[in-house]
Amino acid sequence: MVHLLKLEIRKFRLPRKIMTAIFAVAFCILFITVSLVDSMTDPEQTKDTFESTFLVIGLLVSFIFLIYSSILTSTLVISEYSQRTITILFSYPLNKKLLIVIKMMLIMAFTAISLLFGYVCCCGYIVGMDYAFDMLEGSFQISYLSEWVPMAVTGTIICSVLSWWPFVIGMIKKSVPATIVTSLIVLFVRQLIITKNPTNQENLFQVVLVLIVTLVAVMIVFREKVTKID
Amino acid sequence: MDYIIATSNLTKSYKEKVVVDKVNLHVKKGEIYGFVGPNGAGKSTIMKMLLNLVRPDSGEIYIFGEKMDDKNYECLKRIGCIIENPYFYEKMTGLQNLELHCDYMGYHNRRRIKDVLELVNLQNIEGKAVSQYSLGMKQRLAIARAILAKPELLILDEPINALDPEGIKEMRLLFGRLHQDYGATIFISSHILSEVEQIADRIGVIAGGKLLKEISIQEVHEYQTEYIEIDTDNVKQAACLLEQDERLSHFDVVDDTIIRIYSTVVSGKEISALLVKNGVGLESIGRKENSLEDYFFQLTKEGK
Repeated sequence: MVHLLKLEIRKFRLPRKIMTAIFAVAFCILFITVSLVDSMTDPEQTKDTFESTFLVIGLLVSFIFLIYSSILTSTLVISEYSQRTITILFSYPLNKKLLIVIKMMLIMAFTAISLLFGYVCCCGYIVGMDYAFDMLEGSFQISYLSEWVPMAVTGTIICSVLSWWPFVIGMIKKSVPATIVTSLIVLFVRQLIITKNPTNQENLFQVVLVLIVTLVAVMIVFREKVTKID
Repeated sequence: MDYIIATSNLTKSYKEKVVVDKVNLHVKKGEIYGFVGPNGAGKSTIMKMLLNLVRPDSGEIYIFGEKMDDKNYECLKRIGCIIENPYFYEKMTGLQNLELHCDYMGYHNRRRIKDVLELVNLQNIEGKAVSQYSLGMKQRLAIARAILAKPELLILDEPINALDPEGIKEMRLLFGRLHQDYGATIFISSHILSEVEQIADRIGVIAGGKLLKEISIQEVHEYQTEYIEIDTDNVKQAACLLEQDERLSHFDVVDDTIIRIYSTVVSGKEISALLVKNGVGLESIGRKENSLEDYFFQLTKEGK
């Protein structure tokens, strides 16, 4: 298993993926900067609060990294099927299901770390910018962290779990576009659900429910689709 | 008997259509087994089942004497294969693809990569992505990959597809060498029957998902009798005349114009004289030999 993990990490081309994640975070920072500068300079607008900016950060990083994880899923897993290289992979002396599990775990771990990295960088950025330029309403309090950290952790967990859905649909359709479109639908549905919650975040029941439903769907796909080659 | 591949009542259906029907294959250790059949006969499906890429609906597969299933994948270390088309990671170079193959196979002799590239006559390809290769080059690279880890069994699905005549000859010699030098068992499918005839020790003929016959190439050669083929404008009268001569009475009417006479004692000159003297028009006459192709068509015709 360790050997297989090392091989997949090598195929994963980690340095290139890390660079893309850094660019994605930089894009989030740029987006937030434009929004903050706009609200600062436009006399008709009120300044953004820490709370609302944090919600925007959550929305942005989950949007970007969920889509990015679906691109990784399509290039590392689904395209193996659509381009038929899976016939080569499955003719090696390996446990086929374990091979796909390792690929997906790698993607999920990368998505989770990227999300946390995105949260830390963006939150650090707004705190720093507010300290330097007073860009936000009020000033940063350490007590904010008691809300931000659990919300960031919950957001990371839920997005990492949701990153399996493009895999589920992608495996059923064996199609790269279907994989990426699924991530957009997942984001849209998630947004619909969480805007109805007072915290703008999934509650514990919803997290557990998403976890169970995803687990069941993934298990069915592993049983019915993963080892099947047309 | 020491079989490297043996299947028992191997059956597979797709959407209620039986594509492999109770196939019992027997490939002996160290032989080159040619697997021939028309397109859609079920050759590739059987090869995929042998590699555990497709699960049979029923029946059993034994590779190296061990039952093949999802848990028993270690035997794949001893197999090299080409299935369907030569698939590669197109953005990687040929060298990187072969290195990756070594990694997955757990084969550590990297110097062998250079050797196999030389064997398949694929040199000076460093730095060139596989996407830039011609189909013939990909086919050569696929053969290089299949033989890289010195497998005991090679399963090759149409390996000479897309190769030019010179390439086909090179590969024929290469397979012969692998067979001789390493004692590798080769299970090879091809629709180029003349090539299979030149390389195989035994053949299996499949049509409509059914294995029609397993026969040694020696037996096929015994079947390859000489005959005189005549193309005439009056088959009925020609047949009557031939029947009257004891030496010529062993013949087949192939179609409305063609008759095959199985006689080695009567010359074509004598036959043409007999027919012309009796007013039977002759378009052509010549001595021919049954080939594997004839044998194949006869079997597949009977199979239908």
